[in-house]
Amino acid sequence: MHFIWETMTETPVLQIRGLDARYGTSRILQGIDLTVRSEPVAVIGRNGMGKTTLCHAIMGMGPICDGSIRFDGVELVGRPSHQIAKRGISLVPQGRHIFRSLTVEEHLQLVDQRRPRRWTRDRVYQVFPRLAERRQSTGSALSGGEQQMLAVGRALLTNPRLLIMDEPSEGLAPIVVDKLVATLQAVLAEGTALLLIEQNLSVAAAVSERLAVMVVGRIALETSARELLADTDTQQRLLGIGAAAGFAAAGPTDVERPM
Amino acid sequence: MKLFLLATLNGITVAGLYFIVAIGFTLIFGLMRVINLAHGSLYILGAYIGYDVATSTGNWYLGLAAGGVSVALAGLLIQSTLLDRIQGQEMRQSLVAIGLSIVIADLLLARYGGLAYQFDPPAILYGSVPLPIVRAYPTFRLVVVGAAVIVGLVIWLLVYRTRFGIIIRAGVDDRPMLSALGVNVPLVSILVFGLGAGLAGLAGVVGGSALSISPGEDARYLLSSLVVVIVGGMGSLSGTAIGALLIGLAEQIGLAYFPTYSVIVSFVIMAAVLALRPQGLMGRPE
Repeated sequence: MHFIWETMTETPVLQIRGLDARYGTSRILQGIDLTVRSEPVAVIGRNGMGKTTLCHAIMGMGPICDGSIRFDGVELVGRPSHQIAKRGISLVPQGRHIFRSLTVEEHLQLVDQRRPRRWTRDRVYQVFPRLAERRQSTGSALSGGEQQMLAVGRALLTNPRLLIMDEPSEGLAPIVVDKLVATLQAVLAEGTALLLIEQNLSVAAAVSERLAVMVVGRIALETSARELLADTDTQQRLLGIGAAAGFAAAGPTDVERPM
Repeated sequence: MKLFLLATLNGITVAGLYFIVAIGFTLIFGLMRVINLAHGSLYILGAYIGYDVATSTGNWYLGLAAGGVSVALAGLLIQSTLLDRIQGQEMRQSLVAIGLSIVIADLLLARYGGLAYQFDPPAILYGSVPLPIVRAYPTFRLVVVGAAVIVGLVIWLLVYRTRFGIIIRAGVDDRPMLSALGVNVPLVSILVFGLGAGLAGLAGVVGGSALSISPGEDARYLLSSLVVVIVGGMGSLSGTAIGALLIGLAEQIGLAYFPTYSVIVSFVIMAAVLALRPQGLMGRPE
């Protein structure tokens, strides 16, 4: 009982209230409410529902926002990206965004704070031995899996309070995804909060018990992984998972359309 | 033979000067992508300020320092108040920079008039050194080449061996991602602009001592920097060195052998490079 009371009153790490976000005149997000506490949250949804815009809105990377995004109680809307990052949020972006002319080692030097923290360069190399082998390779010479490891290592080395991952499993071989999930579980065990954006329900469910389903710029459903996995009707309705739905799913044309 | 050797030596000297101006332009335009079409004005501003300080104190080294430092400060001011606000809007940035260069040129014309000025470098740097075949060559021109090599090495170390250099290169690849990792990118571009401007100011004093200072030099050095950076490849330090050497040599050898048509040589080289290798000799494809 005591435990439940504690989780109920703890200050949320991230609290989003009534968030609208737009690019020019295209409204992408409408009235998003989402709270991340110490347990991970996964936002799932089909392509073009506004998931990446949500990441960019939190990080201050472009969209014009109305509403409130509070991190540890501090309002983030209107702040520049680098200040948001300095407060302790780190993004593993969709497409990984590795700097193509920097070596693996330079990527880590870039974010290494050289203070004794939980994550150090040595630890990143321990967790991803492959990166240690590729230490002197430039970003453009890395494989997709290696780039993803580097994107995760780079994000962790900033020692964030909140890690945001945008479609980390995209384009990776299943065995690499398994390794990634195992790493994430280890990271979470140390108390880093996580907001995971995924299209892949099984990856989302493996990492997070709390799921939020996003449909055309809104949170359509907040549920638990167990419930959603058991409810194929809802899966098909909101995610387009199931027979014949794979190709019928809303394509990217739905993304940027003004609403 | 003597003419060829002399033209080659002059070419290398001019290349050294072009390199010091263009390396600043490479940092500002090639790497940070700020369309600084006032770079030539920064050069000539450094030259005049350096001249005033050197003649009033009688110390050439003080003039050199004053030219570099004051133009670096001017650069910080220009980038933070004018150009960084419109970063990414090429046309506006070009127009603001051209407008600025016209204002600077007119102010300098009002203050210094249309005469050519020349510095008196310290005796140890002046005079001439004996060389085979050409017999004697002005010492200061060799000093220019040495200065270019030192500047090149220092900038190379900064860009490839320091964390600040990592930040500069990361910003070239992906600015939004760099910000999302906690780096204040506008501040970085202001500092880099200051550095590049300072090099232009320094080059102004060096160039004014090797040759002379007069109105119109601003356009000449802006043009040479543009050509050097385009031929060498945007943002490439080695490309800037190769571009400066190529353009300097072509210009001086052209002047020696076919003076009437020498002005077009640099542009023929630029056109050829753009046709055959649009990203520049050492540049990478976009």
